[in-house]
Amino acid sequence: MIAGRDTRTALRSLVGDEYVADDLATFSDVHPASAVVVAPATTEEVQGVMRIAVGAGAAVVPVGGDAAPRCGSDDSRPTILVSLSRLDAIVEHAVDDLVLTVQPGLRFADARDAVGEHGQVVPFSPPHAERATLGGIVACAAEGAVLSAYGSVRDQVLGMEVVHGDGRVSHSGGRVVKNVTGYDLCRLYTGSHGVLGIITELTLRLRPDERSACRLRWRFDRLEDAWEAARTLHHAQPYLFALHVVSSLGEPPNAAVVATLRGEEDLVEALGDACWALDLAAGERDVLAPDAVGEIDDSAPRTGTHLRLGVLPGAGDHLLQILRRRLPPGADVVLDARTGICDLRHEDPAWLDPVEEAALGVDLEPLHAQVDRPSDPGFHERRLALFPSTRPGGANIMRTLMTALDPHHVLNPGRYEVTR
Amino acid sequence: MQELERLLGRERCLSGPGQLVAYECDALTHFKSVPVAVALPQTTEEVQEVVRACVRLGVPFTPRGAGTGLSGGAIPAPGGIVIELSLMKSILVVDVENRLAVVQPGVVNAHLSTEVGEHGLAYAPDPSSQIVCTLGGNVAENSGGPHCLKHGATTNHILAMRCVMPDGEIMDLGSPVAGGSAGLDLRGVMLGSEGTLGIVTEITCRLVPMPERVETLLATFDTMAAACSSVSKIIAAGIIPSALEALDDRTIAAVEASVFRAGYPADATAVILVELDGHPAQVAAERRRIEAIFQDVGAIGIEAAKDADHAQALWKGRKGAFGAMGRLAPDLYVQDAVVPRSKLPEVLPRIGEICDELGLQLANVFHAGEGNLHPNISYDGRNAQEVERVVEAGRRIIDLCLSVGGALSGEHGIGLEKQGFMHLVFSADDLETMSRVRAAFNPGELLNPGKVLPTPGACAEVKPLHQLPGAPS
Repeated sequence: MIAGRDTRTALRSLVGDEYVADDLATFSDVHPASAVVVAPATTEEVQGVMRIAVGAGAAVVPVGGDAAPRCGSDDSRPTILVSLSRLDAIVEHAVDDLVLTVQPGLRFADARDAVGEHGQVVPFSPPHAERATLGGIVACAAEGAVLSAYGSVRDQVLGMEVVHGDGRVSHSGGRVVKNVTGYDLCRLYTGSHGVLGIITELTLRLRPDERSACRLRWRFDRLEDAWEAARTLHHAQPYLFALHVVSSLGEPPNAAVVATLRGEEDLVEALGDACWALDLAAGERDVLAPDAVGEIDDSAPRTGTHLRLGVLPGAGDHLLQILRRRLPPGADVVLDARTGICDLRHEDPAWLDPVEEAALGVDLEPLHAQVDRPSDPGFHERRLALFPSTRPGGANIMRTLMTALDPHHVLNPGRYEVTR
Repeated sequence: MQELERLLGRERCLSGPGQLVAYECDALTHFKSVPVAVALPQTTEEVQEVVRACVRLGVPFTPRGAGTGLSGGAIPAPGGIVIELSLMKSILVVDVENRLAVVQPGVVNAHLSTEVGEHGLAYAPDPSSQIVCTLGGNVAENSGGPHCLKHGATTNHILAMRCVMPDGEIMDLGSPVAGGSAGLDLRGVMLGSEGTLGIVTEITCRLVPMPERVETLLATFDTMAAACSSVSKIIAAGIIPSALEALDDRTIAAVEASVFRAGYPADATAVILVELDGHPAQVAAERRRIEAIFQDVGAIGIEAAKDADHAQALWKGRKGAFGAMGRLAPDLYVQDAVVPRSKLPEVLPRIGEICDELGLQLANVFHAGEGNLHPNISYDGRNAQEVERVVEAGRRIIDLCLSVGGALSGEHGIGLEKQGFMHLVFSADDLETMSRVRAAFNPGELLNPGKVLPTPGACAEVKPLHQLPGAPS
């Protein structure tokens, strides 16, 4: 449902006529939507939008670079899409402290380029890096393939400013790298998909850019052999930056192990020599540029289906066996051998039907698998039924938290509908 | 008491005055409150029963580990009981393949690393009190330690936990699987919540491989400003050592005169203790760059530990520094604040000036690489005027750190000690948000009431021996 005339008038009065539209494409280059779109430029304007939404009984859905599917919707209510494209400034880059404070609409690519001039990196490898925004990455906890090297998004967020569902602004954390002042609400907000508030400023820990980098690739005819080689590398070389098994589940099967090496030049050289010296029983092997094998760094193509599984790293072989047995051909698999995170992609959106998914769930449950399906807003609800052993015991607390920070239930309804 | 004895048996319930007095405070001895009883459960289910009994009877309850906390977080509420978790000290699972361990909360921090060391693994967070403090306490305080610079604090190493919630429900938060569990990160907010959101009864810890190479360097300086400058330059150069610690001359003197003697140079005004770990090639390259920085800022000496015993001695001095300072005066006030690392050269001299102006004896030992300061003021608590000056110094140091963009606490927590300062960092709306979050977990506030957030009147019967900085007036 589209927000009403009065709502538009109020929004125009708040941010100016040119920043209210019926089409998200006005403020973003993708994904038009049938809702009123507003692009506030300040925290105060975000507060104002929230209050207007409450008054109008409208839902509010924050949008960053539209790099992640817009999960969460409720057709029974008018919807205000809040584009954060105008909140895109670097507030402070404390170069000598390796700390960056930004507005949420700053694109990852722009932040990457800005800090890169100082030999630093933003420690994420998000899907759609060119248009993903830092606020969106944090809201979705989408660190990408750097998890084993740098840690999760939650580990990088030092401070936040958030506008809650009742229009209040609150801050947590700070701009220093160590801080236990009060509750760590940054971790709560990170990955909350906008259901607790709209991020209007965030402070991130940066990392020094590694002086040297490359990728090594070994090819295998059998997936099992690739997995075995990956575990050999994992145990023999703890200083690899990342380690992935990459495969297509089609016929004939193909698989590769890709080791990412980053660090001082001496380290990369020594690690490369040590890796090559291992007898991995591989077919071909080659040295690649650090950004080769792009599917490792960009986990979610815009089209098709994306399913993310997580198992304990030691259960990776079981996971791969299940996938080969259960899944129809054509899926691309990228398994992080050090974390157990596995991304499955397929061009066909209907590739994994509910029956197949349920069967997969039965097989995966003994592995205590965690499952995410970023392209399907209803998946979180279904997954709780699929994996009863992983049912979060905190559903009541989550519901209470959402009500406490969004008392009118305006924020991104539907995303965590199961916990409402 | 009758109810506790029924649940746990007489031998695991304490009620004698001589027994209870041991629980009147933690390592921050300025605040004291004697509990009405102490319960010593051994299982999650026993914790649950004790909590349910407290809820039924309306009795406040406070969890406690080893009592090494430095902000008063384990001090019981008036009329309340302590749930002492030290009997829950089993290491339940060591999963070498997946590099994780499942432990009870009473396991001593250092014991876990000792236990998993034979597998070439370690638990990374290493608070100075690690030979005594418990992992449950570490989770409650999100404890740090010297080696958290590179490897992260407790929150970075806890994958999942089982908790008894304030209403007695048993809940599993987080997941041993990377990426965590579904929904909101309740594990993350539980970490560092100072025992106010739930009682952790089982902890799944991440283990890390022992480093292939470790090198320890000691650089000597004739000014603290130069020492701090070297720290700032190391960080700015993009080098993240595993530890980067600073000690000043008074700390060095105290250490060298104590059983923690480390062989620090007696003529140094400040020393920087650096540890590098990792692949030998990376360590060698970083060592070359760090030594060049030390020379560039005018270090008067650079010494590398000759062997593991030498390195251990250097660390023994650092970790024993607080104990060594007990020799200087009857009382020690340990401040804990954070500044941006680039501000260290500016802030440290000003802290010295504050204490000089107030005629106080200051010693500094701190986690320089994280900007986490520990100005330690030695004083005599029997001297009321001196206590007032300590109060004033603490307040001015906090103001100074906040004025340069710092934080109120880096690792000791807020507890009872710093509630009165929270308004300097957070607005009323910020505090209201935290209060709502606490209420979502702990609506009745029977669990460890009166901590973290300023709640005037909630702890009116907790009598501070001294009026500490930030204590409610």
